[in-house]
Amino acid sequence: MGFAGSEASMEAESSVRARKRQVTAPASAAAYIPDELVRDILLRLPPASILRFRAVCKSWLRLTTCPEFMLEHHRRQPALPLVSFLRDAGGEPVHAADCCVEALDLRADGFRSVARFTDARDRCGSFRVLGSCDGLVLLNFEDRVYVCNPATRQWTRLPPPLPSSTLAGFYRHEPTGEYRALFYRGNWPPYLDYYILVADSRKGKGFGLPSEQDVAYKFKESPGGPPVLFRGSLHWQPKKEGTHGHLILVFNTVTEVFRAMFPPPVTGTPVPVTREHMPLHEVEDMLAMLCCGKDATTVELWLMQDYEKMKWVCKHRIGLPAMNVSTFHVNEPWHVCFVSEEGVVLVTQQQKLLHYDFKGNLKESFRCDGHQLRITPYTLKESIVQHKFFKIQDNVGDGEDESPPPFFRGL
Amino acid sequence: MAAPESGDGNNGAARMVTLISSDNTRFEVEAAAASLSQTLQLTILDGGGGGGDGIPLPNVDSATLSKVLEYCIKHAPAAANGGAPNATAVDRAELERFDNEFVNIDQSVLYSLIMAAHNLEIEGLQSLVAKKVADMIKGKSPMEIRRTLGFPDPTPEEQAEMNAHMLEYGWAYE
Repeated sequence: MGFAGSEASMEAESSVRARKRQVTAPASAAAYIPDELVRDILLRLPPASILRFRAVCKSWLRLTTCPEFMLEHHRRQPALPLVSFLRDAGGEPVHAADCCVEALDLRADGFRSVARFTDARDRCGSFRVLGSCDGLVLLNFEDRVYVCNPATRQWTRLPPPLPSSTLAGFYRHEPTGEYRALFYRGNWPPYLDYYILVADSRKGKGFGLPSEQDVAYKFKESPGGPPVLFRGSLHWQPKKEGTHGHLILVFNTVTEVFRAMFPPPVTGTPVPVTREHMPLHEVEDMLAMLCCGKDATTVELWLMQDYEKMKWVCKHRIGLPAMNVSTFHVNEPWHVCFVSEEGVVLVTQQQKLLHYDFKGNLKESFRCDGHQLRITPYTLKESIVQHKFFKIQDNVGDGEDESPPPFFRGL
Repeated sequence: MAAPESGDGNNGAARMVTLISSDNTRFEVEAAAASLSQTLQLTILDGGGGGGDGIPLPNVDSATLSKVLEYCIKHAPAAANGGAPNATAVDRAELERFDNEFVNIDQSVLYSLIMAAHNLEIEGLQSLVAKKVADMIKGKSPMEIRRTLGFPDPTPEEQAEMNAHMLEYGWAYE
């Protein structure tokens, strides 16, 4: 096990209960429990239990497949950051590895398995968490991109992205209710080209260049890292070497138009932190930017207190013990830190996750027995909401029956 | 039952009300505690339950009512503060400890308790018991749930549906 889970402990109790039931069980208690109460109890169950309990009786099936129930259940789930790592699985002559994705519950200091499978080690290198939205995760394996729901283990495959494309973001398009993946191709204008792929359609849709309409800013850049989905817009962290200074690229998921936003001002006392890295997150329902230099000894957490007026406030300046977060040597530096109201999580070179509060106190440290440990900026908020597109698994349209992706095989 | 210092503030001694269980036992309790019940709060605001009158609760027996009131008395001070804002971490931890102990009880008592919380509209208590019940049942199989609820054995058709479901969602049964 990568991280020891902390499930179970109900065993002892259930045997006690079974013993007592013989004495006290009423003949038909169910008749006396109003639907409202049953609903209240079922809403507090994990997704797997709800799916299983749909077989209890017609009434429970009806309650748990009601759209309002499923949405309310989703609303109550915590948003947990996703962590991924590889683990040696031995094997000769082909070296095998376990690909693991787990959701980190910072409040309970525990992990929940999201995906796990064993495959040839060189293939595992292509496995990536690309995005997350409404309980759905976008997973990349080999040259294929899948939309999956880990809570129900459903999946569908996106049409193949164009050659040499990069994913920019994954979101729900409110006007159509479609889940869309935004890709781009090329690195500089005029060759930069955006397009979307939709979870329930075989066709992609070209976007052309981002609009220049609403800011006096000629858009010339690709995203600077993974986005944070906040208030219906995707926000990408500024690029260090951006030709327009440090601007946050914003994509409105309703109008599907790009614009730019200003990051926090580089002022303040004492000396402001050198901004080598500026990952975006969501903290206390505000857009948040973590600013740090090459090491993580001092980091600043800025919150956008007034979104419309783009008013930033430096909420915390956190001193962390000098350590080699290294990270920043890797070419995807955003995989080494995560921020939420629960504090800051850093990934060390020693394959550890360190959870600090905003005062810089170490709250918990988790050692991973694998390698290539990453924390993604994406959070999973589990959902049992049903989607029609999971019925279509042949998005490529070649009529072949597609075998399911391996993601849940090792769970 | 030790009465905590008033939540009621201005006039020294806290106002008391009397509640009468289905088996005619009388319980005298602070109005602030009884008011955790939305149902009782209305009656109490109207001046009910004082003096010799008492508020009859025909759906709640004395064993359950005493348990319900134990919860209300413990939670009344925090509720008077409008919940968490003023509470210290120690207070919150103490309430949490109390809650955990409180629902560590027999299944039939939990059942009476959640029905009473529902009828009396005591939101916190209903949540607490619902959460406990959810924890107790989350690992069970559909058949175990049916038995716990006292359902008759499934008909052959129902059994076939249950089997089909289990086949489709095998992983959720592990």
